[in-house]
Amino acid sequence: MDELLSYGLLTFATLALPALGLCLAIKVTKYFNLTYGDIITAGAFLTLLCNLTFGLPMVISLIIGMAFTAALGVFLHKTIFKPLMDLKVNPLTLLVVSLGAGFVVRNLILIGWGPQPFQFSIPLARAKHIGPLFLTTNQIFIILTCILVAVGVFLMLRYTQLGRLMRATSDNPELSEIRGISIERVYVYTWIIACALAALGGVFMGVLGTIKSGMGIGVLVTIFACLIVGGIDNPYGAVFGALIIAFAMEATAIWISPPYKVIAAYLLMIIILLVKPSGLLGGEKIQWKYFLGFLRSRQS
Amino acid sequence: MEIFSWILTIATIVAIYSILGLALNIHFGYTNLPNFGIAGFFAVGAYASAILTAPHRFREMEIFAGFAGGMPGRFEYPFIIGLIAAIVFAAIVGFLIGIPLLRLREDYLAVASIGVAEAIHYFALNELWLTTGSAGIRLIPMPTGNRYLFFIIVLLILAVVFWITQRFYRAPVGRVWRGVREDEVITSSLGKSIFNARMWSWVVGCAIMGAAGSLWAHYAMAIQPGEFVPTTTFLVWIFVMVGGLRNNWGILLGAVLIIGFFEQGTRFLPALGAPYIMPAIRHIAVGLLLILVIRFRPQGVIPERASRIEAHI
Amino acid sequence: MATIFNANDIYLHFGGIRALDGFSIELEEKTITAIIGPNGAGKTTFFNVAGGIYPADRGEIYFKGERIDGLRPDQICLKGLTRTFQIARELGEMTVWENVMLAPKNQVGEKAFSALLKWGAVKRQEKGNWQKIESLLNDMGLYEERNELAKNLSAGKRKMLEISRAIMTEPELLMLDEPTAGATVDETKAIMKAIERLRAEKGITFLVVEHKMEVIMNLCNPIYVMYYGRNLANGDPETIQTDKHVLEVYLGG
Repeated sequence: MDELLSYGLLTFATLALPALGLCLAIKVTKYFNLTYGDIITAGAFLTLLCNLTFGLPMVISLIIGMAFTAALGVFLHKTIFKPLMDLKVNPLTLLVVSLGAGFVVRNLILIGWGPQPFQFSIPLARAKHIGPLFLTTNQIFIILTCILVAVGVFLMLRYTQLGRLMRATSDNPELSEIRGISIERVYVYTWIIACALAALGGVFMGVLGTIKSGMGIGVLVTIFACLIVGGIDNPYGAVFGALIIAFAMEATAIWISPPYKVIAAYLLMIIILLVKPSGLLGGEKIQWKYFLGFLRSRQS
Repeated sequence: MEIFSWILTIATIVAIYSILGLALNIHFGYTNLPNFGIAGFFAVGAYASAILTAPHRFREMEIFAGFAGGMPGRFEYPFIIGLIAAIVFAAIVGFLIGIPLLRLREDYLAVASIGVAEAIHYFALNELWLTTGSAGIRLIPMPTGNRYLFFIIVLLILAVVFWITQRFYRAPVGRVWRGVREDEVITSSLGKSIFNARMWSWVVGCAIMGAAGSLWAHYAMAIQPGEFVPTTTFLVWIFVMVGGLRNNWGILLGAVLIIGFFEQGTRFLPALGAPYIMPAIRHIAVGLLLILVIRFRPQGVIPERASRIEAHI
Repeated sequence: MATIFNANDIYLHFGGIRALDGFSIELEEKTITAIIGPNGAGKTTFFNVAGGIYPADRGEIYFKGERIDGLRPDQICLKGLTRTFQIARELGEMTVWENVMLAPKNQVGEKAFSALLKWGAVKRQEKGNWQKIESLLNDMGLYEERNELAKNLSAGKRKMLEISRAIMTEPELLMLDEPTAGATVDETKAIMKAIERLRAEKGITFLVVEHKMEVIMNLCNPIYVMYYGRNLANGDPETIQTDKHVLEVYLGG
């Protein structure tokens, strides 16, 4: 039981921030950008670059890694996604292209670092008892950082101007445009935040496990499951979904069989899709194009 | 002689991938169902065919898999049974998956289907009693034992699949599928059941992917879970979108260009360093190609053409 | 004459707005009934509810004696009720002929296996359907454009296409949402003639949402006036024209 608590919290800590980031990106830009998985990978590797190759201490490497990842994300947005969005392509086309871009990123990383797994160079940590949990200092750091950052993002969304802009753009892009808000700027800022969160997630995964070129894409569907379970239009839902998925996965690992962790995540996702498609904390029925199209049309 | 053998290898691979591309066309080109789980259905077909045709002793694999036993009973049926089983199983899996998945909006379906392929991959990797896990299944017999003759078989099946996809396009069922693609509300208001239309498109496409899987298993004569990865799915998407989504001739062209290049095109260039570098460069090349094509010529090399009623009736 | 369709007390609200607020309507066979009302009154919303796009919160809808509220659009169409859309939604990447050929019901070739194995029967049915469609397209002035992609048509022609498609489902009740919106004077006349002819020859009942007075007054009887999702008045053209509530609401309509 205590094992479940520890492992559950750790898995939650790796999933929550990327889930939140992806949720914001999808909510604001309204396109599913599936390069996200590989951006997580890039975040881990860019931090690794600072940490292992340049020998910088972990926290600094993390900050620089987040910055680089955000830059990468903005670069991809400006060169690939924005032109397509301006052409008003079918969202599916953008999805396919985003997978393509992820493909390229993943393989560039593979060329740069090779297929073997890596580890951050951090001092060996010792485990401590905290109540029922038995965690290393690194792990405690990860969980705390995750919670702090998540809270920070929520505060930002509610109380800062950027947060308001993001919410306005996600609710009604045309109206925001008319009121003089530069949609493109909001997209860029959203994407910066999302990439930074992705980098954090990638680094956490790297600290708790290993760093490999396929790590991001491997976790993408699980993150997506968090969004679906929690409610894809709700950032709180993303984190809540991550909590549920994390514990479901760890429970499966403990009581059924470790390799089936991921299957548990998918199964939960499918069940929610069948039973309450808008997610546990979600709002309107958004998965059903049928309805959405008509709810958006004029009433007469 | 070696060059003929080399050409034969590429041609067989291109043909098998073409079948996958045509199936994807039925899913995405006709009906707007983005299937990113192609590798999963491909795997189902390959494994179904392999399990039923491979010699029994190689499915036990005590030494390799570290455990004794395997599926009880001898199968070792001929290829045709394997092929039929592949089609049937892929169709069944497709149907079961379709029930939850096909209600989703397209973008959600895309991501969920990635999950499906991963789940199938996991299953293949871990259900050792069925698939011997990462060791794979070996010594799958090639029908007729002759690679040239097998290539003819593959071509025949490709021709049949091509005929099927062309026929579907012209037929009312293809119109309903394309109506579902264009505007579900209208198509539904005209009396067509959207769920039925999607399900039929989905199951037929999955069945065809299963058939391709069977062909692959017998061509490669050994399969293992590591072959059925998202990269496989992605390559199919790339050549379908580059060649010309919806136009079946374009898809064939795309297969020849992309798969042909990808598989062997860089063979004659010197390997730049470690063995993983060249494949990664090829991957990047095709990924970039996809991005450029969608950006500058989204309809692909050979686009869909409107048909005239006089030609139809 | 018998009632072919009636909706009782339909309520629908979403987003805090009462889109339909107790609306009721009754249609007699082989009549052409109009629903009029200012923008936002709920006319299209009612069509959406009747057509099964979304369910009402309260109220029942009967068609030919059966309850149809809660059914899916395809089920409702198969029972004989077809509706068109206010903004012509053509299947853009398909040609005009493909758009209309989609409409007929019970096509053999719509089953996947039949398409492969019963091609002879499929072709025969296609030929038969096309003969009917050919003359319809001629009447609607779309024959020239039959091989054009639907997205390349002008707004007026797209409306005609929308209506042609609906007609080809061979409905008993046809609900047209602003059939003459965006149509030229000639196209409007052609549509009015087509509606009247279909009523006379095939006995189709019509429910039309319209804004153009000459269409409403010359073609439709009775007329229902809708206002904020409710019934405001209904009756024959003269009554409506002189009803003071209607005049108030319609300032210069």
